[in-house]
Amino acid sequence: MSPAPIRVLVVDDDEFVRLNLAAYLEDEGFAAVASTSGEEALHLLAREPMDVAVVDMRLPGLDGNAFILEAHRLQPRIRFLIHTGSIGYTIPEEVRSIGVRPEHVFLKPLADMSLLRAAVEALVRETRGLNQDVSTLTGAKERGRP
Amino acid sequence: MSLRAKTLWITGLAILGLALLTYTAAHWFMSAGFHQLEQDFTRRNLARASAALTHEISSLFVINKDWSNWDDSYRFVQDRNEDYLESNLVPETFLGLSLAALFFFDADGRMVYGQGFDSETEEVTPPPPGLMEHLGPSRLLSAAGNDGPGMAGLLPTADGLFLVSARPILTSQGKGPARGVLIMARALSGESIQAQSERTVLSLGLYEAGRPDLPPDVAGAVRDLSGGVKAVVRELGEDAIAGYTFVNDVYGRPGLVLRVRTSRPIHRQAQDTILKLVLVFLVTGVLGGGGVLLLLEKVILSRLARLTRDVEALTRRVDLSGRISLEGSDELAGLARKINDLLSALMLHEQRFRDVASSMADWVWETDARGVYTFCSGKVESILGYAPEEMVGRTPFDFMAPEEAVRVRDSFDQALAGAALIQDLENWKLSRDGRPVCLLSNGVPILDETGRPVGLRGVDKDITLRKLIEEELRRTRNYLNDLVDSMPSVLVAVDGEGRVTHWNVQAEKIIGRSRSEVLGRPLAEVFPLAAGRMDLIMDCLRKSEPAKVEKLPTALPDGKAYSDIMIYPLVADGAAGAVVRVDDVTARVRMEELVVQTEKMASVGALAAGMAHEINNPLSGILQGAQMVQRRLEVKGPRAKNLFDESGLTGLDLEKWRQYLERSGVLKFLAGIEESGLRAARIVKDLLEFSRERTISIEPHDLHEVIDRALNLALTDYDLRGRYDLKKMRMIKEYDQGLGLVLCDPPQIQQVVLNLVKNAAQALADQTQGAGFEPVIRITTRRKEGQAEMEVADNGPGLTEETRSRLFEPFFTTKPVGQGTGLGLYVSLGIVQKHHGTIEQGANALGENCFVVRLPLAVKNP
Repeated sequence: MSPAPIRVLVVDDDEFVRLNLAAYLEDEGFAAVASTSGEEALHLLAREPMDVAVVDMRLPGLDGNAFILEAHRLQPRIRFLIHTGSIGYTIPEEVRSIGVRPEHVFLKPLADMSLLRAAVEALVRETRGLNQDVSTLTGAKERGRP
Repeated sequence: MSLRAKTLWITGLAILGLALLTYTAAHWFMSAGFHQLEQDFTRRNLARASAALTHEISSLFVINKDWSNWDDSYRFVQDRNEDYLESNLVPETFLGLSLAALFFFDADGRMVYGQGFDSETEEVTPPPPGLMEHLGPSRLLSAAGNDGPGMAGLLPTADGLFLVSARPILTSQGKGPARGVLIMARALSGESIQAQSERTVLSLGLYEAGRPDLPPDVAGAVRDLSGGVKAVVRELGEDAIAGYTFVNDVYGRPGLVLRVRTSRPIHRQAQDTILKLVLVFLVTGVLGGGGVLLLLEKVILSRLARLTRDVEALTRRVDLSGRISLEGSDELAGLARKINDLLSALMLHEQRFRDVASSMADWVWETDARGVYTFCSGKVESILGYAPEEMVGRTPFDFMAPEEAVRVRDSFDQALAGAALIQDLENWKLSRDGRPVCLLSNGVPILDETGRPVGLRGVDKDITLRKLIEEELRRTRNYLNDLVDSMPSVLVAVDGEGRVTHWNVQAEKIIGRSRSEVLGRPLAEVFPLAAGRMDLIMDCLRKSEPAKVEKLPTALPDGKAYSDIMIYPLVADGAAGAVVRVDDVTARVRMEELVVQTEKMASVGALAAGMAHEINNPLSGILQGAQMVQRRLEVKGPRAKNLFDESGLTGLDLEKWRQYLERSGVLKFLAGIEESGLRAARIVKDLLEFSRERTISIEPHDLHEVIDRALNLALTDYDLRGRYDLKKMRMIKEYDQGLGLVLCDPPQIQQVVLNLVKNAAQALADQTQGAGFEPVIRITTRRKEGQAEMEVADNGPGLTEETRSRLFEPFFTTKPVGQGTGLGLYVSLGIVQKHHGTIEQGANALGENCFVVRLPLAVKNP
C-alpha cells in the first residue's frame, strides 16, 4: 500500500515563480498545485485537502498572512512555508501561533530550490510522524496528477 | 593758684617782711645804743663795787686805827693785862666788828694775842690756819712795819678770802714808838660778799685769779684782763651781765678778780621795746593789708572770679550762644564785652562749620589721644545708623570686625603718634543693623600748644556703593573675560585700524601667540588665517554689518581642517572695532559629510527596500528558472526523464547530450545567469542594510558562538568556497574564554565576521607567495578596557596607503569588477556603529594585517 503523495499548494502572483516552483516540486515527486491569488487558493482548499502551502506575501487582494489564517480555518492540518520578496517580513503573532516559525520563511530570490524541498519534507514529517519515509511518498505521487 | 590766694600770700608776706625789716632795723639801731648803755651801766656798777670794796677795806683800816692807836692796846701789848683781854677781847667785840680773827703782835713779832671767831657759833676759836701762814715776819708784820702807816687789803688764803688790816700799835695820840702790830681779819665769805652785794644792790664775787676751779666766765674774763684791759664786760645770757676787774691783794699784787653780776634791765627794756614796735607794726600791717584785700576783693577779685565762672560754665556747656554779663565800665567789664564779641564771632564760625558739616555727605569727626570719638557730625546717623551721641565715647574700632580693627588700628596709632596723616584709608565698619559700610577716612592730628598730638580730626566718606559697584564691575569684567576665555572659539577683537585689542585663551592656544605678544599689533601680522580676509574685516567695520566665511579649508599639521570665520562689528560707545570669531568646524564638517553620506545611503537603502520586492521577484524568476533549465537540460530526476522520453528522444545517448551541453558552454552560460542574479540579489540585500526599516535587537550573546556560526556560513559561501578556496587556508581561533557576554544582534555580527573573513581570504588568495607559504586567518577575542575585542587577521601582503584611506568608503573595492559590491566594510562599519562599537584596521602583535572590532560587554558580566 502506498501512501498518498504530498500535496503542495503554491500561491504566488508572479507567473514565473509559480511555474518554476510547481515544476521543481513536481520534479521532486510532490503533487503541486498553483494559485495566482489567495482567493483562488481558498476556493481550491475548499475542495481539496493540502499538506503544505508555499505562500507569497504580497498578493493581489487577500495578502499572504490573511490567506494563511483563512486557510488554517479551512484546513487546520495544513502547514505553511513563506516565500517572499519583502525583506522586512516578520511573522505576525497569529501566524506564529499556528506553527509558522522563522525557518519556514524563505526570502526571494531563492536560488537553490532544494532548500524548499527539504523544508516541505520536514513539515510533512512533523505532521505525519517521524517514522514515515517521505521519499517513498514522493515517488508514489508521480501518478497522482490533478 | 588763684588770684585771690596769690594776693593773700603777697600781702601776708609783704607785711611779714616789713615786720621783720622793722625788727631788724630796730634791733640794729637800738641794740647798739642799749648795748653801750648796758656796758656803761655795768662798768659803773663795777666801779661802784670796787669803790664799795675799797670802802670796806678802808673802813676796816679805820676800825683798826681805833684799836691800834689806843693807849689800852699800847699797854696791853706791853703788859698783856688781863683786863684788856676780858673787857675788849670778847666775842661781842668780834661780832660787833664782824671780825674773823684778831691778832696782836709785839714789836719783836711775837704774837701776843691771836684768836679766830666763828660767826655761826659766836664763839672764839683758834685762828684759821690759812690766815696764820701770812702772819710770819716776812709778810703782813713787816709790811705793816713798826712805824709805817699800816696796810689793809684782801688776802686770799687756804681758808678763804679775808679782808685784812695791819697797823702799828701806837698811843691814842698816835705817838710811838710802835709796840707791835694789830692785825684784824674779816672773812670775805659768801655771806659777807652777799651782804656787801645787798648793800650795793649788786651781785658781787671775788675770785683768785690763779685758781684752777674758776667759773668759766671768770676764767674768760681773766684772759681778757690779762691783755691789759682795765675792766671787762661779759654777757652771761639774756638775764645777766657781768663786769670784771682785777683787784690788788693786800700785798699790792693783782691776784683777785672782782665780778659784778647784774640783771639786764636795759637789755630787757630794749627787747620789749623792739617787740612792741614790731607788734604795733604787725597789727597795723594786718589791718592795712586786710583793708587792701577787702577792697581788691570787692573791686576786682570777686568780679574776676565771676567772669571766670561764667566763662567756665560756657566752656563746660560748650555753649557759644551764652553771654557774660558784668556791669560796670572798667577794664573787666570791657573784657567781658570783648569775650562776648569773641563768642559771637566764634558762633558765626561754629554755625558756618556746622552748616558745612551737616550739608556735607561726609561725616566729620574728632577723637581724643586714645582714638575715642569726642565729636561726630549728624551725618553719621544716616551713614552708620548711630546718633552722634552714641558714637561719642567709643572708638572707630568698636564699629569694626575684629580683623578689620587690627588692620585699621595701625594707621590710627601712627596718626595719633603724629607720625603720619590718615590718607584715603579705606575701612569697613558695621552699621547698627549689621550692614558692612565702606568708609574712606582722612584725618589729621590735633596738636596742642607744644605740638604734641592730642587727638585726630577727620572726615569719613561713605564709599560703600562705589565699592560695591567696583566689585560688581570687577566681577563682571572677570566674568566676561572668563566667558570669552572659556569659549571654545578663537575670539579676537580689533580696533578701527585692525589692531588687536583682545585675544582670548583659545586664540593663544590655536594661533600659538600669547596675548601680551599680540595686543596692539595689526591682526594681519599675527593671525595668518585672517591676513587674507583683512579686506572683509575692514569692509565689515565700514558697513557695520556682520560678515561670515564658512568652512574655510585650512591646512593643519594633522591633516585637512575647516574653520568658520565670523566678523561682528562693534558699535557700542561709538568705538569702531570688530570681533573676529574663528571656530574649528572640522569635526562638524566631517560629521556633516558623514551625515550626507549616511543620508545618501539611507535613501539608497530606502529605494532598495521599496524596490526589493519588485527586484527580488524577477530575480527569483531568473535564478529559479536557470535552475530549472539546468535540471531539465541535464535530464535530472524521473520527471525530466519522463519528459525526455515523452518527447521521443528515448534512446538518445544522454552522455553525449551532456557532453554537448558542456562543450557548447550552455551550462556555463546558465551558471553565469545564476551568478549575475545572485550578485544583483546581494547588492539589493546590502543596500537594504542602510534602510531605516532595518531594526536590530541587541541582547547579550556569546560572541564565540556568533563567530563560529559565521565561519560555518563562510564555508557555504559561494565566493569563499569557490573563488578563494577557504579550505586551503588555515583558520586559527584564539578565544578568550573569560570574555563574557557581548551586547549584539547575532545575524548582523555574523555578517561583519563574514565580511572580514571574506576580505582576509581575498587578500590571501591574491597572494602569490612561493612554496612553503601557509595562508593563515587568525581570529582572536580578548577583553580590553571594558570592551570585547575581536580581531580578524591574515598574513597576507597588507594594504596600500590609498586602500587604507578609503577602506570604509561605500562602493570602494579592490576586487575585480564583478567580484565585490564595495559595500562589505561599509556595511560592517554601519553595523558596528549601530552596536555602539568601533572598527579599525591595523596590524597585530605578530605583524599581521588585521581588523579590530570592539563591542560593548553586557553589564551583568562578571
